[in-house]
Amino acid sequence: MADNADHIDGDDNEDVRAQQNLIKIKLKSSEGGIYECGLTAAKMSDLVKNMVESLGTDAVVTTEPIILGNEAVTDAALKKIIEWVEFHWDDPPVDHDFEDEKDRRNEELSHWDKQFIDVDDQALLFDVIAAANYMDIKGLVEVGAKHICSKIRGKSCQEVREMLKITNDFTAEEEDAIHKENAWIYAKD
Amino acid sequence: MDQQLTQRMASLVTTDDGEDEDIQQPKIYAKDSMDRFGDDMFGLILSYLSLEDRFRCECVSKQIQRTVFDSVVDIDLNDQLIRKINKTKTTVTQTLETIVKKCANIETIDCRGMIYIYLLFGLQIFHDNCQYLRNIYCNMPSNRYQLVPKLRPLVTRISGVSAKQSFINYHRLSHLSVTFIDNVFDKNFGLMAKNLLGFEFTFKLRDFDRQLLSACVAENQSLRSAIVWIRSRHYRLCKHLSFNAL
Repeated sequence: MADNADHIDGDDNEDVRAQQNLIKIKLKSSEGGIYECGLTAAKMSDLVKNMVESLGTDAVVTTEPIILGNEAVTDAALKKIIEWVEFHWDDPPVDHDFEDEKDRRNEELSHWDKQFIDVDDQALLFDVIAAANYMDIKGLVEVGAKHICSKIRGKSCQEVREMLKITNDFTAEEEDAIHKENAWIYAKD
Repeated sequence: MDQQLTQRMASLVTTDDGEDEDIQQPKIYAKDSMDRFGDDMFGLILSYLSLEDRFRCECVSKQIQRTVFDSVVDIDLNDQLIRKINKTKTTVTQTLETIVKKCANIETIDCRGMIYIYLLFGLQIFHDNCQYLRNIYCNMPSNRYQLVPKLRPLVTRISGVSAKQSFINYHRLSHLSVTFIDNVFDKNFGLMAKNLLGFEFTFKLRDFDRQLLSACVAENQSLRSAIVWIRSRHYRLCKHLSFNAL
């Protein structure tokens, strides 16, 4: 298969990726749940990709589950992650040109990603982001980060604390001093 | 026996101190609290905030304060920002200094939206405080608006050029946007900008000098993109496209 992959171009390569995604591998959460995922999709995780490549043959990969030991990889989080990679595995590759990178960072999330990441259960949201970070799925970490930042946008410190359940460890005086330094952001243009 | 008891009492007293407890036992955070994340994750997540939102949530917690500015690598300095600062009790210099001290990793300053008078000392403050600063984008309508010599090697993009002027000390200039192509030639038709990656100008239908364009292309073989404005439309010419077509 590797031989073929070496001298094929664009469209054929997509076919290979599609075919490889028909191969199902098993992923095991830190809670013990085992879930199936297409091989190409699962390889969006650099952690899984490296594990699969170090294991070598496809036969081993499809029988033994890959254990994801990090405690953020709960059953619920892993199910969400598999849903995301199964939707995104055939995305065009990311262009790393500087200008595009900046544009991409500023780009809003797609409708699908917005609906996907907008979960009511904040513990699950944080698990998904932490698990995606552990599994090294950069695209999904970005989706989670953009989602949180969009929720922070325009909110006051107190509102942000309440929403994300962050403990305030500043004294009132320290907080006042920061407010004074940053007075310009509250000025109306 | 008594001594042991006193020692035990003493140790009880010290562990009662709230701050020591934090150090001795790892805290268990609620799963739905962002406190569970380490600084790395905070930095990663908060890197998608706008500059204003970063400053607005600086006082949420100490962890946010120390992670929220690390990822600011490019900053836009514009008149809107200056207008806002002018409405506060602090001076522009003071505020720019606080901004720059918090955002120590700035690499690129885009001040194409800033008028000249603030530009100079604004850039001075950033130059003195940002050790990673390596790109300045600015407007330079005419020769009157030259930057001080020590800032010139940092300028990589110049826009808004509407009169002839020299770019000789701008060694790293890579993108240039001028009104007309003759703005980049001196009186003896010597080309003043070479080895550009991007070039933008307006095409004059009436007295367009093809020789100027040829000279420009010849000295800028590395050009990756050229944007030519024809009235209000613009055409992007790529490297592989021949300029002779004009």
